[in-house]
Amino acid sequence: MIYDFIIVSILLLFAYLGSYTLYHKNFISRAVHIRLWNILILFSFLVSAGAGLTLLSLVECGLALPISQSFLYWHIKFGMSMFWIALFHMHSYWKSSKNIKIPDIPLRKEKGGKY
Amino acid sequence: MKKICLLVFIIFLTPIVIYAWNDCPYGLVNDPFPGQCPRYEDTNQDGVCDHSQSPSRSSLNNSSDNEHRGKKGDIGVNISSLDTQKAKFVPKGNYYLVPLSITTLIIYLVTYLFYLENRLKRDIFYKIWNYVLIFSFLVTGVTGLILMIVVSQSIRSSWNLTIDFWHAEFAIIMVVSTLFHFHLYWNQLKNVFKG
Repeated sequence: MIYDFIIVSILLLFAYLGSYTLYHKNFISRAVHIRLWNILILFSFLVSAGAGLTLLSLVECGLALPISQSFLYWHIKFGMSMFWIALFHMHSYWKSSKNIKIPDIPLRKEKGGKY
Repeated sequence: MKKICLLVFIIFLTPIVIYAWNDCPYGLVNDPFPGQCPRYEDTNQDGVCDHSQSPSRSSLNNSSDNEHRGKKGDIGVNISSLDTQKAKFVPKGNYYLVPLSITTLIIYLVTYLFYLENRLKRDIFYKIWNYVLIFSFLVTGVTGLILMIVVSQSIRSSWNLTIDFWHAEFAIIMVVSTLFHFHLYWNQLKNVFKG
């Protein structure tokens, strides 16, 4: 099976550079740029991880189904997309992660009694 | 109340990681060869599935030897014992999906409990799990790329199964840590789908 790693990588890199340039030149807001890539990473994660876990479960049970080959194909296809999009995700949040961006609503009740 | 629930949950999960014997998902007792399900495993070679019986003393003594043999044999080598099941099943791969997921979950719950108890600062708690996610992602991604090149170029090497094994192990950690990432950044995640 051909996975077109180089073609997919180049397309994604150009798409990210395009989106980043549009944001940098103020054609789109940062929120739109971030949201677009967050949706893409979520979607690629769900497909890749879903197919991967299904394959893993089948192997652990010692089962081989005719659909396993398709699962493997889409796992790899979406996995390599996720690899690049995850790097873009890290690039987007790198500065804020250095200053550790804390969520608006913390997970525990603070001493003051407010969430 | 939240802390008590967490503690109960951790205690409830711990035995699942510890047990490898007597844990038949179908509740079978002393299931003889070839077993009634594809999970049949007989490390002490007594003709009874390990999952359906308690460990004997001799098997406990020999467990380290059997484990060593099992690791090598599980992924593709131990085909002869499964010949009878060839039509339906393939040789099992042991990737520790459930134990690894639950161990990671327990560690997360323990750090979360420490965070709730104010023993762990919020930024450290977040950083720990962000670094776990980054590290597991990098190992999964790099090993995945290596595997893709190896498969597409038909490179045959003794390292292939090892790389495949570690790809799967770190992928399990990555998937579980990603779910924790969703929990940590739940509000931001919800905002992604808002207009």
